[in-house]
Amino acid sequence: MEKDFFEKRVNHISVAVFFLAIVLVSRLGYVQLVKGNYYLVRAESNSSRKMVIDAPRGDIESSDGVTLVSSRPAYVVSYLVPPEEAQREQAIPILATILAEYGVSEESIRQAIVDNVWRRYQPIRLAVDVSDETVFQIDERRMDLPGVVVERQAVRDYRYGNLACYLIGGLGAITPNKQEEYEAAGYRSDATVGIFGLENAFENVDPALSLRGQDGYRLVEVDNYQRLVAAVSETPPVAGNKMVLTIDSELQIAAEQAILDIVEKLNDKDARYKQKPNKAAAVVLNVKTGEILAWASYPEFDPGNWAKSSNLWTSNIPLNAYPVGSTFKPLMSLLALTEGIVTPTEKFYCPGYYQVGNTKKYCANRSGHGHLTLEEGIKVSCNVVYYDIAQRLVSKYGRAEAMDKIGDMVKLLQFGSEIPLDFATGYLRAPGIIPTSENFRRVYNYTPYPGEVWDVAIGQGIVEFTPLQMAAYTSLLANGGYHYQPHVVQKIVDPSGNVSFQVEPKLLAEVDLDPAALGIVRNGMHEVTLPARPGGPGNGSAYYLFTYDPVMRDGQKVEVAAKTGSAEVGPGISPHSWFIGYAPFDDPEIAVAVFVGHGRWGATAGVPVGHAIMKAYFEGLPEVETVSP
Amino acid sequence: MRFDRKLLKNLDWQLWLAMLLISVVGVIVLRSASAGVMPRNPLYYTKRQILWVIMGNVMIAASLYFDYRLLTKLIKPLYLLNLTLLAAVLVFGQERGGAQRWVSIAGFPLQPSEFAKIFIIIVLAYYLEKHEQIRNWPDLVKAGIVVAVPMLLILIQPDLGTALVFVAIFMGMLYAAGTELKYLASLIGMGILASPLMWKFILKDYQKMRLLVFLDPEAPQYRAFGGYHVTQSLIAVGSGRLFGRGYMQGTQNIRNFLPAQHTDFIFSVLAEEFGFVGALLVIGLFVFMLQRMLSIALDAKDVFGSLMVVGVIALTLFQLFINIGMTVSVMPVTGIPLPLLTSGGSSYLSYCLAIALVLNVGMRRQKILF
Repeated sequence: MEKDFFEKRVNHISVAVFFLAIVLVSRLGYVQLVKGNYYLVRAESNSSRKMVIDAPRGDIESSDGVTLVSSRPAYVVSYLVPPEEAQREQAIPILATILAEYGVSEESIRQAIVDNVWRRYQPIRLAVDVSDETVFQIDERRMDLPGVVVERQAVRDYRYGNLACYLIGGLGAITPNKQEEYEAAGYRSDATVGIFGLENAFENVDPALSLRGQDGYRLVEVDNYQRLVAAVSETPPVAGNKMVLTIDSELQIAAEQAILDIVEKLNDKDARYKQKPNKAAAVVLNVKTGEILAWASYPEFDPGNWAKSSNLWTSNIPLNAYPVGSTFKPLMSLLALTEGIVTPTEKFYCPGYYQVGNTKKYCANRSGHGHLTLEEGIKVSCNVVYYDIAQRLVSKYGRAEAMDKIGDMVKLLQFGSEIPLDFATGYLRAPGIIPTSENFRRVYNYTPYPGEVWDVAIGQGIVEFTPLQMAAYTSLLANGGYHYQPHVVQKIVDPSGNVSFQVEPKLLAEVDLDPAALGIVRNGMHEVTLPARPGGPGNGSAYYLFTYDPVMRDGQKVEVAAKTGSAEVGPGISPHSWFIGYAPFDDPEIAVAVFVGHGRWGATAGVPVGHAIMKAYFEGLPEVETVSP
Repeated sequence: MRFDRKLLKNLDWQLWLAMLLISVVGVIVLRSASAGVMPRNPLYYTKRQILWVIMGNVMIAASLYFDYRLLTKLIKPLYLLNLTLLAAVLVFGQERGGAQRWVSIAGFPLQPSEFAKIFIIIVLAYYLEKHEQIRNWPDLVKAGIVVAVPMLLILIQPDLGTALVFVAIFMGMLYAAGTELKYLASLIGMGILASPLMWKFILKDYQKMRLLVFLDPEAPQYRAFGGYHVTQSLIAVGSGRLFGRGYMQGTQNIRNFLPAQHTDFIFSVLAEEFGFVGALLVIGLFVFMLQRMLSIALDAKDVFGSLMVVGVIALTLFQLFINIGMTVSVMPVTGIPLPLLTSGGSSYLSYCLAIALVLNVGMRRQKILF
């Protein structure tokens, strides 16, 4: 081999060395110097994760300072999905087994991963509020569960169970139809938001009012198994505002308990009443401000697990309309007196029925009340008195006009105007039915006959209102015509203790009522809770409980004005039971409306509940239930 | 045989020093990579590697005493030893990661394919010295068979990467030996013709995927075949930018996003933590070593010595380029170690043998200065 030839070839190899070195160095220069920043960002996103710390939602307090709903720390299991399939395949079955009791399955985890692909690198929440036992199980198998993170987060603490559940409402995941709206407001797509009730009404609103706080963030570093290796920084969450309600906790408890008691009592074997109470409501208003002091609806639901209850949006009973029965009579009395077709001293005669021509209708008391005034008619709830009033209206105006006159009075007493509510988002609200000839025609397709005007006069037929409307009506009678807006929020207090929002009473309408006529109606309603007077037609329809277990305040009997109602809903069907009332009679403070569906007579269900509420308001609860935080 | 101390004047201290320097850098980088691989025992690999470095260099020093010409008398035993070891791997070998590459000798896991590269350099140099400048087909075919037998044993393991190193050594040595270009061109042509057949009948699907990964490492179909590894390596290398993220500060390494960071992807750790500057320094040291070797090859007293050095050059250059090329996605994923840096005894010690040959050839060159 010639030396020169060999040297030439070795020199070729030398050239190759330089050439390949230059290739490597250029490539390194491109990757490190040109694209360096790009890869640095990728390296950082590889190893850092932003964990959201949910802000504790604001507490909800009753007006008497009892925390009804709070937030408590709970364990949340999240999954930082590891990039390697093998790691996922290892973890998912184990995770599904451990979290089975929280409704998590292998399929649901895989679905969640698919659903969250677009948010890759961010943790997916699998289960909220898991038990210590579950946390322990996860901890034990930490090595087999790459990417599984257990964190402390605040969840809702319903300290009084389902107390005031319809007011408070419920939380849940953002529904698909609200996704855009919430995203526009800066919500995370997996945020927990109020779905209905106060939780919803004070969700996506001015931050000064919202129950929602500002979420915090924890920046953490993870390794390739998605195990947390270090916390980098933390932005603590800001708690939501505290909300103080107008609700009085004792009154609320009393109202709900009274309903539960009566429902249980009437769930008997009495074959005459096939339908047992299946829905009920009680609304208590402050007649001087419109504040809602209690709001009970039956059946109740578990606010922490509301999704399991069906049709919640229609089951807020105070917002549903039902035939009102005899609780309509104070309104009719007011109409009769204002129209001048009845004088206060005039005596009606009740033989147990009322007949004009071929139309004959009976009084509830078939043996008749005898001679009685309008005031006494209210006391004993005599139908004949109101048939007579209706007939007088028919004679004066004609049958259609007569019904319209009743309708006018209904409208005057504000049944026709919608009551704005501060908490009722997510519920269906019935407007009620105002008895006018037009509405009648719409339903029956003919002009009402006199007998049908009589029916309306005792609150039957096309007279349907909600317990809330009935409470507002009672309040109007009690305070002499001031229609305050019912509301449940009293004030909002920010985390540093400043009142950021204070609700002032709002007068929606001032109704001009004839004071003399109103005085007679009120006297009649007072008599309802009193026993028979000598020469009178009988006991007041709610006299029993109010006489033998009088409502007391500071050793003095509190006089109560009331009216009962038993709304017929069909032949052979147990009627709905109503009670409306206010107290004290001479200087009213509260107005109460009670409705018990299929609760039979007014005195059967409505009165005991109304009585219990009055007692609770003026006397307080004998033993206050307290839950230590 | 008496050792002539004057020979030491001819010893290429610069080459040895560069090699030691790279070894030290390797130990330093390995310490960082171990923090990611074995956070609970971060010194495990480092301690072992220090042991290999000491053993290897003592071995180099010891080898200087012997004249490399002695090897010409041991060609047959060496070749047989080589084949025996490779066969032993197939029979008794331990499987790791889907391939049988290790055999346990006196309790030490040994990777005979690493040493086979050195044996084949020696044997091929001897053969080519005898058949100076291959001028006929039978010589070429015989030379091919000498290389092909151990190479096939390695392919069966299967270890495609190491087998390819044999091709590089073979071609490099043939070229330096002055083989006429027509033979080399025929070999290349045959290779080109054979590759579709190889692709179709020999290569397994995963091997094909790994060969294609560098085209687009982030494509989903390559993910399981090294695409994820190469992507993470690119992120590691790129995020190092000019000066690196700092020693033991590379998140790709420390947080384990980088796979095999103490072996195949050790260079990525270097580039991540010491940046372009660090990478350039190491590549520069390798280029310096190669230049020293090239000059030794030219000055060797005989063809056997020259060609052995060329074989070591081919081995070094090929492994350097393939390994670093893989970390920056210009070469396929083959699992070829980076000389001196990739941790592991077989790799380091076998490369020390290679360096021992080169130093020996350089020391015993013609012009002995008195």
